Amino acid sequence: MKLFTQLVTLFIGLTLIPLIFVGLLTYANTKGVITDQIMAQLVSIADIKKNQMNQVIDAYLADVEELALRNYLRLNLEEYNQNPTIELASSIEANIFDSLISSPEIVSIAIKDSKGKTVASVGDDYVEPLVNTKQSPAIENIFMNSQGIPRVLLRSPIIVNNSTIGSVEVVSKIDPFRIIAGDYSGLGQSGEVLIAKKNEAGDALFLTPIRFDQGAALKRIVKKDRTDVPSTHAVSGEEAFFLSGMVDYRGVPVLAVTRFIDRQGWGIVVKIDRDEVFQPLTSILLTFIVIITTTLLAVVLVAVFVARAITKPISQLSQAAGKLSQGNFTAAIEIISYYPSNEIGVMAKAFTKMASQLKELYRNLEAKVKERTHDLEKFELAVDSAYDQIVITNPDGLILHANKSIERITGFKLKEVLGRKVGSRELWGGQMGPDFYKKLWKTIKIDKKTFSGELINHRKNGDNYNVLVRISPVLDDKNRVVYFVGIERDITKEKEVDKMKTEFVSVASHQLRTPLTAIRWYVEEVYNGELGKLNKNQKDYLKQILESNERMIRLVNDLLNVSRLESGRVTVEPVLTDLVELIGTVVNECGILAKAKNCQLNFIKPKSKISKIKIDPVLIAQVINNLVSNSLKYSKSSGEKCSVVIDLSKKDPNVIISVKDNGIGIPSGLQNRVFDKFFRADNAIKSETEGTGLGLYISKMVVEASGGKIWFESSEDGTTFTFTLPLSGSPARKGEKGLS
Amino acid sequence: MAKKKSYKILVVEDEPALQQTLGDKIKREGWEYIPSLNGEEGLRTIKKSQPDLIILDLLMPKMSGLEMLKEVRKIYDKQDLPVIILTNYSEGQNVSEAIALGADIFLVKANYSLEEIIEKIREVLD
Repeated sequence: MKLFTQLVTLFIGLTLIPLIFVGLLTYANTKGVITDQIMAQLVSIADIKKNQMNQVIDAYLADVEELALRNYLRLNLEEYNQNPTIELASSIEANIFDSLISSPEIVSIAIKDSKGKTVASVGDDYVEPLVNTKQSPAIENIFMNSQGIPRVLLRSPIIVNNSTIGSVEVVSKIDPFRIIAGDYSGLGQSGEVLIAKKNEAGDALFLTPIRFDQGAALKRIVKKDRTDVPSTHAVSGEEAFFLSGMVDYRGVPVLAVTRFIDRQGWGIVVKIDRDEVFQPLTSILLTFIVIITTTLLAVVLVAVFVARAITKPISQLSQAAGKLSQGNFTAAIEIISYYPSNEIGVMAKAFTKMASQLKELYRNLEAKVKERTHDLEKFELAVDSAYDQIVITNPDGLILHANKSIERITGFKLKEVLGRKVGSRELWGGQMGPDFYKKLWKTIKIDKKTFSGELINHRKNGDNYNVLVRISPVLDDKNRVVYFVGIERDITKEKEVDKMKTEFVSVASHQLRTPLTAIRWYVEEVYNGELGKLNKNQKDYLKQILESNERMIRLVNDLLNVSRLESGRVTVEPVLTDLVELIGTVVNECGILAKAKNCQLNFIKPKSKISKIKIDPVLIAQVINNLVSNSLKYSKSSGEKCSVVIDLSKKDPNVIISVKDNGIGIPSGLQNRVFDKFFRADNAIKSETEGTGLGLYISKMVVEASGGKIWFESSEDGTTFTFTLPLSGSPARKGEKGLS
Repeated sequence: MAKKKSYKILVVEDEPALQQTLGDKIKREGWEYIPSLNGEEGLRTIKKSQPDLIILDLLMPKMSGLEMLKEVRKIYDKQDLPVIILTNYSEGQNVSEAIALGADIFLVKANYSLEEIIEKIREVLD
């Protein structure tokens, strides 16, 4: 049940229950009091009535007795009995006639002789001679006269000298009785006094007119079996009071008191209607009901008002809490509109604050999550759509995630590989030797560095393919490996292209070289006079042929080297080399050219000894050779004497070799192209038509492959080329053996 | 006067032009010149003529130089029958393979004059 209903019910209950309780008590009490009161009253009236009746009866008897005791009458009657004369009779008649006149209530008087014969009678109602006679005056009966008027019949024996000589019968009005019965004082509006006697059938016969039935006298009866009617009890001689369960002759519930007049055998009932008695009670009840109803209404109104005032905030709070538990923060806050200035209000305020904070927190969290998800989605998208295969594993190499390219490259679907160990034979790996994998794992797991390399894997269908792989460990803030991220690129095509290129270059160079060789050998033999002596002109021409041919051969060699250098197929074989020795050898080799160009070639050795460093002597010699021969070739033909100076020095962490000349220099506008493939500056071409434009290109590649840098400075006064080599040595590189 | 020893030189080379110049040069040196146009022929010729040295090209039809070298070395080792690879196919792989298979020298034809080649022959045979 809702709190509101509970409170309202409580209010109503608290007010109504005592009210009703009190009401019921009062009712019961009042009823008792009324009953007692009325009953006492009835009893009192009944006794009074009984008294009155007795008095009236006494009065009647006295009257008749008086007559009976009249001496005149007695003497006359006695005489009459002996000698019944008319004079005597008239005298008696005249006597009783007086009484008749003087007593308005007497209707008739009759004197009867001892045999019961009427001697004299006066008045209207005449009664048949009675059979039963009593010895004392008595009310013989109450009867209905011929007009239907009830009369009292009184009788008294006339006694002379102890013998009954006759009787006097008086018929009297019953007014005294009627008056008694008609006196309703103290009996309210419904009270009645009933006087009744048993008739021959045993039923109660009313003797007087009564309040609600003026014609009841000697007419109305109450059957003797009606023990629920007080009259029945009254005429049976019971003197009692009846509080409940009694109805009167009308069938109306009454309170009654009964009395009995013994000498007459008459019952008296003093009764009053229950309704009248308890009417005040009814009106109390009604009043009470009105009060309760009014109170109820008032209480309900007040209760509703108060309960609402109390429960509204509670109800709001409870609703808000409900919304909060569903995660609807806004609704939770909005619902609470009212903060009473009591503990509930405090709670509500606290709640609202908490809900607001939660809302904010959630919003921030949501925003963050959204942001992160966005980021995540971006990265997921990036990873997934990457062309290379990206695999993420746990520190033990079990695959946590792989992007879409895995299926394209390995033939395995993502769900086939999840949770399995990467690099296993059952998947796409495991074909390289154990040393390879040992090195791989050492690098990424123990050294916690990135591993790069080429390997051969096999696809799901068994086909082998070449892979360029790069595996990086992802570390947490305690430097422990949490993931490995491996990127594999299928380079099978590139390798094939490479292979084809290599083959092409080889075949091409082979095909080019073959006729060049033929030309060289044939011409050489003729030039050398093996086939006969030649004149100067013939020799000259042949020389030209040979030189052109040589150029071609050099070009083919250069092209082949360039091709190999570009595809990384040149072997860098670092050995501990004495640079001083190496440069010395090159200087020697260039001696002839220096002489031909009339140049001074100087080698400035280092001040302090430089220990051997690991470099590829063949390649580096090539570079130095290229730089020196360039300096010699592009020397000035006039002016200052041509001088080429080679300098070797040490500057941590490198050695520095420079070749300085005072030659024609490189025009500034063309300086940024000097290392380009096939590039030759205009002035170089003018100075020396030969030259492939590949020398510096190759030198740069070699120097950089050896771990160094190469640069130059140049002006009209000359050029200085400088390159470095790391003291730690060049990294070894596997390719094919050396340059051509 | 030094006794000019007469060497038997087997030249295995599929290019006729090159065969001719090489051959003429060898003959001019006073040595015997035995040509073969491919590896298969070369093997047969070895049996027949027992050369002192083989000049061996690599790219040839029917049987390549390396294949022939393999076969030769099954029977003759370096001391008995030195081999000079003379080819224009200068892939580094071939060089190491050739040396590994038992060739003495590896020369790129275009880079050497005939004179220089004769020098090399002399070096190896002496």
